[in-house]
This record gives sequence, C-alpha cells and structure tokens, in this order.
Amino acid sequence: MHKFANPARFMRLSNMFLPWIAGITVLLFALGLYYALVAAPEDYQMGSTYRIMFVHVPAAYMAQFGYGAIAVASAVGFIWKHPLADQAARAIGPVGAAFTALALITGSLWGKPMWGTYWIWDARLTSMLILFFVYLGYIAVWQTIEDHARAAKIAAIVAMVGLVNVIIIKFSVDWWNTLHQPASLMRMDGPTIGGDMLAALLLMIAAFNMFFFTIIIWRIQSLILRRRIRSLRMQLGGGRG
Amino acid sequence: MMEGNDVFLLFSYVASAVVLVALFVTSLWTKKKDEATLRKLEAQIRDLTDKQGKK
Repeated sequence: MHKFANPARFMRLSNMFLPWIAGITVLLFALGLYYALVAAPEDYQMGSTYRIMFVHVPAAYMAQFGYGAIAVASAVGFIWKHPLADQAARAIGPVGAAFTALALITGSLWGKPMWGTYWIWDARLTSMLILFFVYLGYIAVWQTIEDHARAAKIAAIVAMVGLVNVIIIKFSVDWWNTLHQPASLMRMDGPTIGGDMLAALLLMIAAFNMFFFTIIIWRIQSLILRRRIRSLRMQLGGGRG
Repeated sequence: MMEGNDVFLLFSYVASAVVLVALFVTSLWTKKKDEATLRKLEAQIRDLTDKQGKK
C-alpha cells in the first residue's frame, strides 16, 4: 500500500488519469442534466419542483461520502503514519463542507414549497447541520495547528469521532419520526423510484462523484507541491511558509 | 413561463452551479499558483548552485 501511496508516484499517476476523469465528469454532467431537466417526467404531486432532488441528493450523498473518505484516510494516516493519507483527508475537508452546505441550501429550497418552511429542527436536517459544523471543526484543526504531525493526529481523532454523526444521518429517518422523507435509493428492498427519474439521479450522483475526485486530486497535488515548496524555502535559507 | 415554485428549482440549480464552479476555480487556481511558486524556487536553487559551481 505504501508503494502506491508514494507522493511522487501519486503525482505521476494522477496527472496521467486526470484528463480522463475530468472528461468523464463533463460527459456525466451533460447526460445527467439532460435526464434531470428534460427526459425525467414531472412528478404528479410535486410538478417540476421535485427536480431539486437531482442536485440535493447527490450533494447530500457527497457530503457523507466525503466524511467517510476523511475517516478512512485519517485512520490509515493514524495507524500507518502515511503522509499522503493525511494530505488526502485534509484535501477533502473543505470540499466536503461545500457539499454539505449545498445539501442544506438545496434542501431548504425544496423544503419551502413542499413543507411550507425553509428549515425545521428535524432529525435529518439537524444531523446534516451538525455534519457541516464537524467539517468546519476539522478544517479549523488543520488551519490552527502548525505542527503537521500533531495536526494530523488531532484531525484524525476529530474525523473518527465525527463518523458517529454520519451513521446518525443515515438512520435518522428510521430512528425518529421526521418530516424528511425516508431513503428512496439505498434501501434493502431496492429503489422506490424508477425509469428516467432513477437514471437522472444515478447519472447526477456519478457526475458529482467524478467531480469530487477531480477536485480532490488537484487539492492533494497542491498539498504535495506545498510540502516541496516548504523544503525548498528551507534550503534557500528563508524557512518561510 | 415560470410557475410559482419554479423559482426554488432555479435557485437550487444556480446555487449548485455557484458552489461547483467555486470549488473548480479555487482548486485549479491554487494548484497552478503552487506549481508556479515551485518552478520559481527550483530556478532560484539552480541559479544558486550554478553560482556556487563557478566559484
């Protein structure tokens, strides 16, 4: 595993795959938006407003996926002390926070016409808001602690503790009586939506996923470059940054 | 013509576009900036090494 997580090898491989990943992202967004806004039929109850789902669900999914990825990368960094794992976790933080904010914004824009309110202290909504604050806390750890090893260790602990909230988000609609609808995609008995609606949703989730990977690769590359910049500055005698 | 609730749909897609574009631009811009800084520092080190070699 260490062999494949080598920063130099990561830079080489990621530069090789990045154009392909970016190309697939554009293609998936084009297809997904076509299905979401044109091919998918109107809902008999919600009309066109339900199409908010095609950005809200992928954003909420990425918010949780991002946090799961941070927890896994943090655990790898914590146990095997691998710097690239820490960098990956650090790179995901702001991106995950942005997706969580987007899920909250689009959720509240969907809530107003459907529930008559932008916000309610419902278990799902509240746990998503907590996830946003956990992300902010995670980012703050990296921003405020200068010693990299110490920041990585504390950030890993924050990440693993915060994972409990992701489990609460997932099961909040089952454990509590919530205004938010139950899961319609990831269910034991299969999705409750079908046809072009399901195709649109899956395409948009795939597009968001590939977009996430593109951004994360750039951000990890940036963090690797900054380490190199720091060491060159030390070599030059400045010792800055 | 937009119906009453379509404004929420429009704002959702606009908000999504803003967040995605902001993530894209800031991440790419940061990476390009770091690459430029690294190239500049590498050039400085090369110059320094050359000067020391001549001495």
